[in-house]
Amino acid sequence: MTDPIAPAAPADVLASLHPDCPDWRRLGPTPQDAAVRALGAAVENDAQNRDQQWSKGFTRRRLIQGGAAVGVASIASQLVTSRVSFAANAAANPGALIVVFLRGGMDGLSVLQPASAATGLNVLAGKRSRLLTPTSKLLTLTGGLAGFGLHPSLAALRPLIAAGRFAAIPAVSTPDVSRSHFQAQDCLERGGSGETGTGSGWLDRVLQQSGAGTTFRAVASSSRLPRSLVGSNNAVVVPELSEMSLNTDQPAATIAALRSLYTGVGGPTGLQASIALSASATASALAAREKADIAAKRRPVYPANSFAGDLRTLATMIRADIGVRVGSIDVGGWDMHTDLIGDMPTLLKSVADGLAVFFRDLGAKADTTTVVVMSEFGRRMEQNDNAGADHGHGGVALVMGGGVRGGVRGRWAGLGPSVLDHGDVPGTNDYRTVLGEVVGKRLGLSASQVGRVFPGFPIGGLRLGVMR
Amino acid sequence: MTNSRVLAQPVPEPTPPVTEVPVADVAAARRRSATLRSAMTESAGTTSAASDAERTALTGRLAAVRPQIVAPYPDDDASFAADEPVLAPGVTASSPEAALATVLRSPARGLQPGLNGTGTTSSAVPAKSLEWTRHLLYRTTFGPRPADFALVDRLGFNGWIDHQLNPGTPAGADAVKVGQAMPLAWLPITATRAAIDQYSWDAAWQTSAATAGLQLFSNRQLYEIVVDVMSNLLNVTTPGEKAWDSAGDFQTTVIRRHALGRYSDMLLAAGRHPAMLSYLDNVWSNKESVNENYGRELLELHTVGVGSGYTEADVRQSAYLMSGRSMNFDWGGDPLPGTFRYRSEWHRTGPIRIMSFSHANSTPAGGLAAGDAYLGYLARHLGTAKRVSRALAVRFVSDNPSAAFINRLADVYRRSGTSIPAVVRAIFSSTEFWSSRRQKPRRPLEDVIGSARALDLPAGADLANLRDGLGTLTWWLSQLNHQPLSWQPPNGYPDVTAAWQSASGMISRWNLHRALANGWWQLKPSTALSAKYPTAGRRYAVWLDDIALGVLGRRLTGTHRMALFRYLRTVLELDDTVTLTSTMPEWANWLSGTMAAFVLDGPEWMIR
Repeated sequence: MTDPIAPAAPADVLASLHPDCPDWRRLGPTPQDAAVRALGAAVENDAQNRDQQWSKGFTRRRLIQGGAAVGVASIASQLVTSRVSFAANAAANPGALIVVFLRGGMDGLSVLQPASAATGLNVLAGKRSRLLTPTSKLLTLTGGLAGFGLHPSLAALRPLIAAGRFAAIPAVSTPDVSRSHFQAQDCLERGGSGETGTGSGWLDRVLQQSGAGTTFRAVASSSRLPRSLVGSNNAVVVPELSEMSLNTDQPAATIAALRSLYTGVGGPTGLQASIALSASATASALAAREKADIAAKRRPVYPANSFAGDLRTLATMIRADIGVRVGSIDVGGWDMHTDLIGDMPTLLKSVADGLAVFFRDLGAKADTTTVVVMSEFGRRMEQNDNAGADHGHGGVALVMGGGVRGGVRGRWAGLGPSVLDHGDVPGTNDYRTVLGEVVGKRLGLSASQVGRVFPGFPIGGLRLGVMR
Repeated sequence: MTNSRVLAQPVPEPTPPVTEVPVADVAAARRRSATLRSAMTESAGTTSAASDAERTALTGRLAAVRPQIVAPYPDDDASFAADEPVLAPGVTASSPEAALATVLRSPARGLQPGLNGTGTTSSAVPAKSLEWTRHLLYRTTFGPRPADFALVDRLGFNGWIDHQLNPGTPAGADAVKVGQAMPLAWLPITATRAAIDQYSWDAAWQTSAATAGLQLFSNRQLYEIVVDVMSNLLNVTTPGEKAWDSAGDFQTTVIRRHALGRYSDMLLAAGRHPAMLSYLDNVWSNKESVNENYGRELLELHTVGVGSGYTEADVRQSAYLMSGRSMNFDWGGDPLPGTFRYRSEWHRTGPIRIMSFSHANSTPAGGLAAGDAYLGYLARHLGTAKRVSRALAVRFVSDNPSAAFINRLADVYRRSGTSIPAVVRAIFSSTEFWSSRRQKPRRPLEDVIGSARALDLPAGADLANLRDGLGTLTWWLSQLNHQPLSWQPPNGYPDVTAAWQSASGMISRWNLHRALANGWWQLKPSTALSAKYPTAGRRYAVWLDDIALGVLGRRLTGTHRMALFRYLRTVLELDDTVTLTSTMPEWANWLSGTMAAFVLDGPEWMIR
């Protein structure tokens, strides 16, 4: 309860953005436009954050003290992982949304391949004969649009597919027409279009809309804070639980000393110190439990790669009911300009194999955990000379797990010349429609709350029917 | 219990990463040979199979082909005469810009009387004081060694910058040892191929590890930082799948050669280097099937940047113009496999227009020159001027440098003929720099390397130990996702705070401070901290201040001193009558390392 007062990330941190957007100039078509937007967005964000913190600090206090309204306008007040917050969370736990971001531009046409003349197989045969999977080898996905097949490397996900818990959406894109990785990723992760100029990430705003929670309500299980979680809601970045233990035989005295060193220290460093110190004990305990469970074979065996390791970390936290609401994992390596035919099966299989074990591992929690797999754009319809494909436009999103309505969802207009965007798959389905529906259903957000997650996008009653 | 055991270990044994192949690398792993596996094991800091004798022999054999790294290529001063800066209207002769112009014209740059001494060239440079010295050293070094404070004291602020930017300043004996301990680092392409198996990551890994070594041991800290900034601007993942044989040469002949020269030269060199051309798939790009990866990133990342007005059509044209820039392959009887080769028969001819650049591009043979003209155009473009300036300003000043500041730096860049050191000098004589104290958190690299420097760890006499030590260091950095040169996508490591927020990263770094300060690493303080900071007869407050002065260059604040004292009180089980001014028992000195670690843990160090 004695967390140091940790102020929210200052405006310059929001504006300073992320690895993939080191630069506010990308917020607008011209530097002048971008500057005005960056400034406006930062100021607006600051104001919103202040309000949010006040209201949430108040709510949180009420929860602890049974209605005695002691307002503490500190974001740290929500970061306390107390018994009370666990209890409150377990009671009203809406489940967890896990976002797997495949960086580099996953070739959607390989993953969900048109498999009939009506959906465009003939066009593909002319343009990318080397990249095509024989239709006899494609996995069947029933429900929704007909005439598609899944890449055979997704075979490990057959149980989910058979249970009607696996949906694929073709022709998904950002409103940004850019074929630049960094611009498209940034647009996607900010949850806006080039015009909305939003400083925080979309998952950060999901947290804001979903109210108070524990330190672990947002977990980035990769090395760094992803752009989608940049903002004022303080996601905890935990690639591995065992790394959360202080290497000392005096943990209590060490934590006390570190707390004192950072008391009153603002800014991102002070904030990280505060999060690290409040999460360390819980994470260390979970790491020990995970280790014991693995030794006793109480957990299924994950493939030996870092993605599967990240999934196991998330599963450990979700199983332990510590209030994980949003999880995020990055997987690089999808920029297949060369040797797509060699790399795609390997990489796709590792993703599918990892996710298959993850859902088995979750047990009952699989019913309340939904995974979205997405990428910044699809690749060119036409193969290049290096058995690969360059940057295209519309891609594919996959949604699986609890609450999902299986099948091929969304709109598909075929691959006729009038449909294509510069010769490539168009963006018939705005990714915000997909994410909006998933977030709303999974985390119990209202339509207006979802609207605030994607400002400037009239999501309204748009639904692709991805969720039940 | 586990912790006590770990504490007792004399040398940490990092887990080799061989069982965990990152998903992103699965494709690469498929192609890797067994040699690679041993390379990965080495990268975890375990002892290599090669004996010391073998290593020494290899060092000798490669000495002949190894280019001079630690004392980089002196700038070609004649090259600056062509672009003699012209004073802009309103710039008076006594301004920093004018002083800069003088410096650029001089063959002995960096030793001009006008820029020496105590800051007479710019009103922005404050009078010398310990706090300002720390500010300067916290930005111009990965972390200051005690000797750096003394040197700044002697040279003054501008004198320090001159000293750091002077190509004649020796990197020091420990930096030379880094090269000897990592004999495969920075070799030319043909020498690399002669020394390692095909597709082995050994050489590129050593280049990365040795880069960390120079960051730790070179006395030319500012040069190493500029090298790091430019390596990220023109990123080639090292070690990586594509430039296994050429990544070291890329560092030498593209980045290090030009880091204190002109960006236009660096960009031209990159555009003819097989490391960049294979990393971004241009080696395959031909008129039948143009691969646009390099052509696109050239515009977006290496030069003008998004938002500067180029279109998708420009990207396409950029890729056309670069087609044919390839390499000699291992098949088809190519001479000198792995080296650059322009394949005129692959070049796509035809008129080119990219933004305001145009070229007839009419002959296959002339395609290389046409591309060079384009690279020269890009290097001088205002967008590039801003992008390069911004990369340097973000590193040295703040996450969000003002537009006015960037414009001013971009102006210096263009007027100096794309000179990188000119921009660096302009930064350090700016009000923006001197008013940015304590605004940049240390990223993992600056924390770990800097901590080792703050503790003044030496390279030692034992080259094999140094090699293992650098191996462990590199493994730590890879665990913190900040191994030098190793960022995967082409945009380079992020340099802004928001991207590095990580709770587990924070804890890992606190743990590393303990390992470094207590000597749980191959490279140890020359005098153990327990001996360097004796306790017998000393008061707690004085002892703690001595440690802080030694590590940080300043005393602790009252609250922080008290925080550390409370820790001592618990651990030493002191009773309430003992205070900060009580005399210490001699045996308490075993906590010197832990106290030094706390000093590094705190915000005084972590925010620079």
